[in-house]
Amino acid sequence: MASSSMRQFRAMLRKDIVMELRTKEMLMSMGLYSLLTMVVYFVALSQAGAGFDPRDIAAGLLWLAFIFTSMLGLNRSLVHEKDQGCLEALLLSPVDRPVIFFAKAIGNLIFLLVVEALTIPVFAFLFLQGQSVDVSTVALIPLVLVAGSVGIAGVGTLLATMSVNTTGKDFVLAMLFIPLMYPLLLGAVTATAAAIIGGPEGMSLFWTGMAWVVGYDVIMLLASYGLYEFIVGA
Amino acid sequence: MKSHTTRAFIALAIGGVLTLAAFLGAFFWAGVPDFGFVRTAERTDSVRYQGPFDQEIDEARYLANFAGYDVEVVAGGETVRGDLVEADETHVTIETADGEVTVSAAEFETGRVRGSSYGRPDWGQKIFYFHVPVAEISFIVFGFAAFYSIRFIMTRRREYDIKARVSMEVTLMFVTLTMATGILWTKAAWGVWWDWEPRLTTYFIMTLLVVAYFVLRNSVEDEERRAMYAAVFSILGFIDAPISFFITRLIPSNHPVIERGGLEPPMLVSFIVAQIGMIALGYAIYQLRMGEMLLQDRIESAKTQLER
Amino acid sequence: MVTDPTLKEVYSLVLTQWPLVAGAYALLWTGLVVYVGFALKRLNGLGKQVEVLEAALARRSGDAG
Repeated sequence: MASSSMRQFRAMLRKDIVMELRTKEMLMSMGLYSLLTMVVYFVALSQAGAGFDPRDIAAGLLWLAFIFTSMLGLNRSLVHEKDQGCLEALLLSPVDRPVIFFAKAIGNLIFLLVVEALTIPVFAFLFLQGQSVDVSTVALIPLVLVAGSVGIAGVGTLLATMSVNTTGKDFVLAMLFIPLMYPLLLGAVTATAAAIIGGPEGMSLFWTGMAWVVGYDVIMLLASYGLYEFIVGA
Repeated sequence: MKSHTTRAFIALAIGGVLTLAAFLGAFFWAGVPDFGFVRTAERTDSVRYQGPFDQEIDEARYLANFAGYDVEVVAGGETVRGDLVEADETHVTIETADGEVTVSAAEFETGRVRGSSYGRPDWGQKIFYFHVPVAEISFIVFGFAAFYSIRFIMTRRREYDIKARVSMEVTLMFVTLTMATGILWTKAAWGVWWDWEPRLTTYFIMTLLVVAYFVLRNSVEDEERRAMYAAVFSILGFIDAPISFFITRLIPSNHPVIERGGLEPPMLVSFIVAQIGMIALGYAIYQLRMGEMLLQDRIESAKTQLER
Repeated sequence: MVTDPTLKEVYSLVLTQWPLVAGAYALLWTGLVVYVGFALKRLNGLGKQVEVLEAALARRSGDAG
């Protein structure tokens, strides 16, 4: 049973990745969207003045880009499934519901991480040039990214599965997603900002933030995993 | 149904009487607590007089705010007592019985300031008697909504969906009232209408979750699907609300908390009566809406039967 | 008019806070009363509808039987 679930899971994940590699639609749209966000940031910060230190708000700006990009991606990934009738077909086949959840969530997680990995250097290139940062603590940022993205992809997959069946798809997703994501975002921004600031105080704040993000992940992923069955079957 | 309306009216009557009693208690029985204090050089009036104050001072510059007060300064082994004329980081000038004496800050050893202390009444605290009960009820009813949602998922019976939805409506009502009274209280106590402070932020998130619940309900057409989605979301929201509540501690807070035994009996009694009264009112509103829902069901079924 | 500076200071909070306290209570009570009032009004209307519909239903079943 376990091995067949594993096989189903791998097949579904492979399908998502192969399709993406063929069309590159999601990565393209998410990547370009995050690039556009950078333009908006530049405009927003254009009057900030010379005394302004971009390191102070870098963490917030990064997570802002991630949250909006991820909403775009989540919406697309499930709209595809629905338009092509994949979800109905999957529900008819003898696939365990949790397998569907994990396959979709991990697919989304991979795309999200790829986009984040591309966004950070671009952001650093555009906004943090000539700013000194502590390399040893900044190297911890990938940890926050992974922990935060796991939560975004897990809860997001559940919410997007709901929102694709509503009349106002993207708006409903945003309305459900952002309030539910608030604890994760606050923890992730705290940890990222602490990593950028560095120092012993920054480190203790970093681990506090990380603990929150991981705690949120555990609780909310368990809840999403338990509830997905009812959503996808409804 | 009749029973719902009857229960609603009984609860409404009880709640009305109790909240009215609490209101009277809060305004005519319970006192007004002090919110900080004012110090003066002389005792002017007994209104909110708290008693004398007598404070030791170890640096000359700390006397700067006490012009006109009765001070005693020890400098160079001598004690000078009189009314303070002025003080800064270089010197202290005192009007004694024999004329003005100036002491340099370098010579200053210790000093005392004496005067009267007056309490500043905190009228804004009156909001507390109803703001806190209303906020508590919003949490309780949210809990009921999540409970009925779980029951719905387990049994898939429509009645639980209706109960969850009505509970959520009552939550929305009370959340709105809490936000409204809270914002006014924030202005009264902190001088600002809004502050991104843990309690307020968390509560704002909770408000958004409740609003999102209704946005979700209104945008799903299929009835069974709507019920299931709404149930799942309200459970997720109920899990999320406490996490938000605790995580916001990452931001430093200045929202007051009631200390154990910190309320005088008249205040405490008014507060508890207000709590019970508000619970009764919340229950009344819940029963009213439930009665309405069931009537609507009866109308629907009668209509379909007539069309047949 | 309070001229004494101390009392002015003491009363200043009372004078600035009362509209907020009054506003909070006004919002609270109007909110509750309006909500309950509308609910009762709707309930009344629905009750009348139910009576009419069920009377019609009873008549019809009486005709049929």
